[in-house]
Amino acid sequence: MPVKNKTDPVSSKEYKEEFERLASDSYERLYRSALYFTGNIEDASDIVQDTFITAYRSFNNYRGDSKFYTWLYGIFRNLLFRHRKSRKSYINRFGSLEEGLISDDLPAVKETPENLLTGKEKIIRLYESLNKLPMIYKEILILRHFENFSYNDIAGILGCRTGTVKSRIHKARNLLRKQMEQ
Amino acid sequence: MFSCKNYEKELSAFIDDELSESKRRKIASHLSGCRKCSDLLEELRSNNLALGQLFSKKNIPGAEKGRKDFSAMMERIYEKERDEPIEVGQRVFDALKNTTFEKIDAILEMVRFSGSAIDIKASPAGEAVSGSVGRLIPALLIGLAIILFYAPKLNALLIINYS
Repeated sequence: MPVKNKTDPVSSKEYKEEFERLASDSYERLYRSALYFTGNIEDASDIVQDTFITAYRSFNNYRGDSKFYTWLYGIFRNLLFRHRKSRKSYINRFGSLEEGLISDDLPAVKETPENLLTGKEKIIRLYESLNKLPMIYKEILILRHFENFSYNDIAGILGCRTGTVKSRIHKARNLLRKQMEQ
Repeated sequence: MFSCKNYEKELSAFIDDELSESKRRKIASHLSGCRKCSDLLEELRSNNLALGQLFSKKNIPGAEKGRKDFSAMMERIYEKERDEPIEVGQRVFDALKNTTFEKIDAILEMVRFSGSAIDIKASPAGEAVSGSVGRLIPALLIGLAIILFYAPKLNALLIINYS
């Protein structure tokens, strides 16, 4: 729920309490995302703090008709683009294989008979294929599979319609599938 | 009559449970009788599972070590607010700064495009157009592009579009 009285000054007790109640639940999740994309603790902490500062200052504008984390993530995403000076840093960062994100003891992924890769081999091929996709499709897969956002949430973050999200996700997965077959 | 191609388009949303109940039943009914679509569904599910593992947040190095205390961060924010209270103008400026990069890029792209497309003096037909009119056209096109881009979602300029 957003702050009920929108004329409340930013420093009011009610404003702070309401913000903290929502923000505390989102903090760790956002921090993990920040760490994943920036790749280091210092940058992650900075960007998380900047996100919360911006969110705090804009909290009067949060109407509560989307989840708080979704709203917060929209701010985070914009700051991340700015912070890294290039959107490529944000997109290329995810799924880094170099930092031990994939362990050997992952459960095996169900394979089609003609493509008997082990779970790990499949994930490596997936990673390589993913990096060949255009940015627009990579990002939507990040939002869906890394952040676990619903189609509605993604539509809110990207500022597009849910139908667009649906078709884009479908196209992204198809492109990925075809890329993996090559 | 729906062909397999029409059903294929819905498979991703079917997996993600983002379809209406009636549509979901329709797809399920088709899948029970179509081997091609069932195989595709399995392949997509398998890839999704692998994506879930690739994007697992559990093993992010430093997640525990570097995590700062939430309360401490909020204190720093309040201090900053006390020390540097921001004015309305600054809020608008901050919001503008946070406008998504895609939009800025798209506008720049339009500007570049309009600039090259209306290189009036370079085109034979354009030689007739000169002086202030010639200079005005690019400016008008750029202005129009910006208005068209932002007018439908003016709120997008103020972050609040995410709420």
